[in-house]
Amino acid sequence: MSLLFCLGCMSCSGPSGPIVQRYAPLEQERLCKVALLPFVNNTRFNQGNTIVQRIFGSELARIAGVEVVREGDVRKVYPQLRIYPNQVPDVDQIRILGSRLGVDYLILGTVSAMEENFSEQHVNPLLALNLEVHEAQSGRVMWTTYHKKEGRDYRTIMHFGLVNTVTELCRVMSQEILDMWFSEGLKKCGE
Amino acid sequence: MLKKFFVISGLLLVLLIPMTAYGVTVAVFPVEDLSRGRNGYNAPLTEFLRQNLADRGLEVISSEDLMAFMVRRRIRWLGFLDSSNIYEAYEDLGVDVVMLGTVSQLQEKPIPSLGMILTAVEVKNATTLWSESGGMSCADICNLLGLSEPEKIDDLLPVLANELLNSLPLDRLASIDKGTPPVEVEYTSLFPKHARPGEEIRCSVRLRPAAGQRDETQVQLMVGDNDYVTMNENAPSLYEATWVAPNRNESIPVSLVLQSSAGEKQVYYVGHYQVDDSAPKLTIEARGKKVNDSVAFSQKIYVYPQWQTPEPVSRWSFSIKNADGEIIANLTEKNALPKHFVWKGQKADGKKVDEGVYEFILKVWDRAGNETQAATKINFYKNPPVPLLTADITEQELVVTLDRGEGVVPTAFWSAKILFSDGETLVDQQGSELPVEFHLPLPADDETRDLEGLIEIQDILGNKILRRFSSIMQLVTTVEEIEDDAEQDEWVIEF
Repeated sequence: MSLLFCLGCMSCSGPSGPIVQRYAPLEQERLCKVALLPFVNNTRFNQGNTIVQRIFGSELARIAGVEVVREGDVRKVYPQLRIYPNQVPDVDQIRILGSRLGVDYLILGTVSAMEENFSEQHVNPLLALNLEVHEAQSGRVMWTTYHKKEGRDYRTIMHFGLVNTVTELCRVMSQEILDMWFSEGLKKCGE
Repeated sequence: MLKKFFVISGLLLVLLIPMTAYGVTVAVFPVEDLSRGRNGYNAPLTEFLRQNLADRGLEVISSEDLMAFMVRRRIRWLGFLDSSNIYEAYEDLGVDVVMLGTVSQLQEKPIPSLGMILTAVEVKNATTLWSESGGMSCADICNLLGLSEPEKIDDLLPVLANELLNSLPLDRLASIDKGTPPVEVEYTSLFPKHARPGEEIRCSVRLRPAAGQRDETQVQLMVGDNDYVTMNENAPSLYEATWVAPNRNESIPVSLVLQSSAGEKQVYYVGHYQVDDSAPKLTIEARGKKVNDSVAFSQKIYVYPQWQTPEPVSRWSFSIKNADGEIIANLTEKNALPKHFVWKGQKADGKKVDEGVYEFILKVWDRAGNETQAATKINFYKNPPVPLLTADITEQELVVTLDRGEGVVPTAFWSAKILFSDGETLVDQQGSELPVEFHLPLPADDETRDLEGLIEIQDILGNKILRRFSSIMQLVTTVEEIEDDAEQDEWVIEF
């Protein structure tokens, strides 16, 4: 019983949440329409950037009701501005992208760690990502957010709570990041 | 017979009602499978989605129609679409909703696991209507006594897909506004980005649908803060405008302004162009030894561009001229200016040039096309100094004098070795100043060995010579010979 109590307490303390760095106050506090710029993959996980980008976009639309610009529209403007894949656009290019796509903010993500470590009965996924929120009008970085977690961080007791897939881990982490943003002052569209 | 007909018709009607209950038509695009790389396709999930949505009362267009549409629109990628293709799906296929799917992970071993992202897009305005993502592995499902637990991907797929699709807002789908898609900016181009005053600036814009076809949209450009330029429709949906850059150095923003007949105005930032009328300011410096107050070289010379105000260049040209003004080498590039140039005294064909004066000319164009030129002259010397060795016999000694022939390049170093032919060395000296005298004992009368000299001289540019004098005694000029030479003040026939 005491063992269970200890395990329970361990899960209560939990791992740290997303780290938000603010560089400037947001001009537009309501997050209504955003564009996700193609994420950068710094891992060996095949298509890791696309996976994280699509899941984060899905959670933005689902949780926050944010209108996420179609990935195809963003990709179409990139060659017009001569931005190569895996290249980070400059400030003026971000301004043009923001205006063309009609968004308030543009989000650029970098996946710095993504892996699945296998054991006999469970898989322990690991994910670390960094997000930059750019203001469309000026192209400046307003916020950055770093978040790193692994599946066993969510264990409550015994095997309960474990996150066994990197997809699910990404989904949960995306929720945590959005929750953090809204607790930091960002507002949902219409609020 | 009639009774049978009514029963069958009734059953068919009952079966058909749920299929079109919402009056919503869906196009289920092939699901992308990222676990198979960039071009992966997942047929089982695509088919499952088609079937599941049909079961939920939505009308799903046939795979054949969808495939034909994808071919027509040249859609090569799965998992996402751009707005123009979505609007086209509305017009071409008559669908209300587009369903896009991505398999984010799929693996059977060591533990079967599956992840997916599903998105329903409202085609009228190309916005996300619903989106869900999730991952599941067999380790996530623990039923009592292990009953009905999934053991492979085929078991996981319906469980996960159903779990996600359960939140699909069918009532929202039914209330979709089936209006007309808005005008969309498909393409913009602004050229050039850097211009000289008076240069023509051109902007092209492609819209979809064609402005004027459905809506009398006025298409204009806002250049700067309040200058408006009307765009002409030079081809269907393609608008172009040209104007002249002003006579002042500044960065000018350009925005596209679409104004509908109802007065609704949309502004899109297209970019900015920089007006620049000042030529780049730079000089070039050749770094090397100085001979007679001008830079000279013999092996290779480094030439360094030096900016007064650094700025990016669009192209540059580096050429070398000889004293006659003839260009003997030229290099033109569109890249950035290199930190330095190196010349090894060769022509374009690789052969060494003659000694003489050469001029380096660097031309640079900035991004607006403003040109500047910088030049410098250098001297090229490739011939080594000529050693002159003379010998005199006085009463008690032999005096050997080492000097160098004519030349403007100062001597850097000399080395002299005077020795008998069997190797006995009399002099082994080095120095930098010439001329120099060596005082040696007179060889004995019965001396049979030759007195030899090994002379090496190098100038400050690195030109070097090593010469062997096989018999120094033959160089000896006696007093009588000198006197004879002195008497010859006119040309004589020599026999």
